[in-house]
Amino acid sequence: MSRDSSFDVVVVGGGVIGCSVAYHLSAAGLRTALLERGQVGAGASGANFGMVQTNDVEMNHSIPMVKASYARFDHLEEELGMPFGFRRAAMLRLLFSEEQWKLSEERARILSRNGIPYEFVPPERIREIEPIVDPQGLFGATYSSYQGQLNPFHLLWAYLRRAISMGLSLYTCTEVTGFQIEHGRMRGVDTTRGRFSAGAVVLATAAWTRRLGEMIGQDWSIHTFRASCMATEPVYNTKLNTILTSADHVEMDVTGKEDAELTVLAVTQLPDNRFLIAQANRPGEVLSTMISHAAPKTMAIMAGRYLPSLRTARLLRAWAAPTTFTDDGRPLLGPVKGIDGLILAASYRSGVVHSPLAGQIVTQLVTSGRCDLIDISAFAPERKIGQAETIYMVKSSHSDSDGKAS
Amino acid sequence: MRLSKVSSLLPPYRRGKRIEVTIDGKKADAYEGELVSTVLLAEGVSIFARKHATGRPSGVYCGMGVCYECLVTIHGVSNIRACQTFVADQMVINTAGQAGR
Amino acid sequence: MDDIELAVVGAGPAGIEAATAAALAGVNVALIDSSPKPGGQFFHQMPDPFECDDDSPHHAKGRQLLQRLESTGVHLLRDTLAWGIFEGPKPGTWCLTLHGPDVPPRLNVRAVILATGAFDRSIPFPGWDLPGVMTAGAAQRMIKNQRMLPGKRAILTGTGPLQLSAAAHLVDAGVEVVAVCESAPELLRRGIPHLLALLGQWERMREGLSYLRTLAGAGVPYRLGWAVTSARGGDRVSEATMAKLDRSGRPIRKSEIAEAVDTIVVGYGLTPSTELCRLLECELEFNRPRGGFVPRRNERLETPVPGIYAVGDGAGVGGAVMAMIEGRIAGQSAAVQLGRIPERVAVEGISREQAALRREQRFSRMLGDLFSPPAGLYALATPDTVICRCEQVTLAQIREAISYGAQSVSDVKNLVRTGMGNCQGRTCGSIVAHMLAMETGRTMEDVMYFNVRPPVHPLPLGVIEEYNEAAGASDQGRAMP
Repeated sequence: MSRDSSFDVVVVGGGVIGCSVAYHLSAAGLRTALLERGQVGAGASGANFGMVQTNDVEMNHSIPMVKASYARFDHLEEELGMPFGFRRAAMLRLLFSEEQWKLSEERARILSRNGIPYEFVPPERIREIEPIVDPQGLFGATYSSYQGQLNPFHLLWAYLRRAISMGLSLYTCTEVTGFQIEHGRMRGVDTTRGRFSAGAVVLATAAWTRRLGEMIGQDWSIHTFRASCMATEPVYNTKLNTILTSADHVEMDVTGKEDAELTVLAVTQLPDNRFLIAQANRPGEVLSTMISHAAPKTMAIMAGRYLPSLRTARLLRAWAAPTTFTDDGRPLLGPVKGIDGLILAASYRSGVVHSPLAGQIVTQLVTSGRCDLIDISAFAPERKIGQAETIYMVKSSHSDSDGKAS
Repeated sequence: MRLSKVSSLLPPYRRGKRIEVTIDGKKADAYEGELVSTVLLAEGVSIFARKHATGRPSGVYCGMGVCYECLVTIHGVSNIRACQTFVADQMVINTAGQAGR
Repeated sequence: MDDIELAVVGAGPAGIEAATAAALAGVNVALIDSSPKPGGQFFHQMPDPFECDDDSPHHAKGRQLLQRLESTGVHLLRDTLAWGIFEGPKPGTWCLTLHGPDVPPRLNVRAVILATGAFDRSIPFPGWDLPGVMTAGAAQRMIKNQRMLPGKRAILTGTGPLQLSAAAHLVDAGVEVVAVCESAPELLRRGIPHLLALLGQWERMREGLSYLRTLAGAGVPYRLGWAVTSARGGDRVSEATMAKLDRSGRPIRKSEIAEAVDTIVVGYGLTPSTELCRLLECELEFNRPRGGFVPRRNERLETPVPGIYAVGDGAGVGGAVMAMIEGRIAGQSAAVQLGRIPERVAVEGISREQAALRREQRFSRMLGDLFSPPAGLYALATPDTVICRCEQVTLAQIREAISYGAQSVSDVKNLVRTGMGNCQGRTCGSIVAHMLAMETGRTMEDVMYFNVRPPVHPLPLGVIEEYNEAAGASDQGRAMP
């Protein structure tokens, strides 16, 4: 099916950022096309816990953005006219040593000062919050109550459904193969389904952004790693109140020492009583969605260690998706220098929480050429990306002596 | 009803040793080599499970372990496919439980 | 078992022949099957405590195949489920994760032949999910393999030789069969041109004719161009309605007849079991006469995923004879890949099979074309008919997802949970695809199929963990405190 089509804006990427951008643009009256190379939510947006996460935020520049975005969740279901299962949730992170607490102390101070609760819980109080956790051997925990949970697919479709009703054209199985740029101006994109002309193109393409940038000589330093997750049947004899995580980890070689599946505990129970279990992280700039042979086992090991009663619960599926990080922990958000009409909205640490504001910011950039909602200069795509104090990276503990996971 | 007929489509055949199982608290005869689904049908049980979402009844549908409609509880372990499980002496079978745990 | 090079998944006719052919060529083979005995559905063997004096040619053929298999030293892993296939630790290897008695939890091999067979296709109608409604395969297995009557008074609806076989078995076993509804439109008109081809397959025709004789002898009406359109009941089905179908397969309401029954046997043909193909992200293409979505394969029966072969009904429904031919071809192809026999030997062996293979392909294509359920049957479901039985999702909910903009079966799944339950979409996947295609005007290739993720059957987390109950521990890799 080959066609030439003309729009005001083309948004590339059918994940949570792309769907939000498509919605906000359509709501602003712009004739918009959303292009997705596979199915809606084929990447990390369809593979996650559905956490609306504020505690993981990059602390130097991103706090105002995450707060403003999170606040929109109070009314977002109403605004989009479709429920997506949003509820407030708390995260409890188990600590085994004072050293592990010290790594979080600064975060606790900065977040709390900025109105995002993040506190230390002594071991004797852990059971008040999560009765199922055995506090023996624990130094304590961190507790962040200003979190949320939702159904990530329903959030995607809440944006999409409203956008389609406002005129959005959705093209799935449509992959960008090239860009039409004339005299430094964006003219459109070429795809496997023909040419889409537009004066503005937004890349909300996460793990695929770097590859697209290489097509036009741009070096966008976005790294990918594969994150894995799994889901059980409904479980009625075990009750979990929080999103339970832990500072320790388990490793298992995948193809050799240099790429171990590094697994941290992350468990949550959904309203229908299923358990979501994560998170195995595998280093490597790979765009595949195939889960490794190690990940289901390492995630099951972690779950079994803290919630042994889950060993008899049946697993229904385990999956993986490429997810991204930048060395400074900040997204690439803003207009691309030197190409009029090209905007990036890629590599958010937590796409779900940032999605409402990302849509607003990009819409403002497209319609007026500037953003006055928050200061986005720290996210400029052309910036020199240095290392931040807290790096979200996946490294095998073989490769350095203090392998850190975030 | 157990078949004893012999025909061109049904060659002569002997069941295994007779054993005893319990179905929803009641004792019943069974034969080694029989599936749990066979014994339940022999005892006139049509409802094996109920759907956790709606409570609707389900029984044997595909008979080959693909559809997960014939779920029963055996020795307290729930969600076991009756059509894929052989009976054993003194097996305790319960039906119409809730899916999930 | 450290030096196993080839894993064959599924010990039906295709898998047995594949394993045998590879082993005869010198390959070290593991043949994996989740049943207690090999043979699959076609050569089903009675469980050990049963004793059966079966002197039929069919049974003898099965015994012969199994004896030959045994003589080759293939490692047979029974009662074993291959719940996942992953990229292996070394390049060019595959890691199979296994669940079964006395088997290692993982097996690393260099090639895999998928011979996973097929299962009954489902087409929903109001009441199809009542107890007492079962597939033709289920009814026949109950009678033949377990010597149990499925019910007392039955009606059959479906198409093709498998339904006919189930009907004959039911009648022979003493079930009162009120009618057999063959839904294929204009069967006689479309079938007559194929009569010559059918006569060339006299053995099969003879079997079919003897089944028809059994039905005629019991006075069972064989209604051409009819189908069961709805059913009613409480804890079990108690009444079915059948109707004549128009040319598109939709019921002609004024022809409806209601019958009191306690059993409905539904036989709309088989659909390939492609879960492991999809788990390996193998591309599938839609092939209606072969039962639905099937993996792409080259002439060596290798899929686009290197080292993964697919044979038999699991790669496209075509019957046992074709399955065995394909098994032999893939077994030899794998032997070439593994360097056990030179390519030229395999090419000779494969070319010897080509005439028979083409004959079987023609025959199964003809059967597939003649006995395709008409599209109008997908209009039998009403808004409150349950489509995804595991998650109890109705047609109305699927239509709502479509109204939101759902374009593929994955979109529908993500919106309303079809395919997210215990059966992992096996029963409803094809139905959702047909409904979506029908309601949006898209093709089956557009709407696609559900992704499959490991495990291919739900398994306790303790199994995934490889938790050793006795040791109270699992092999934790390098667990860090």
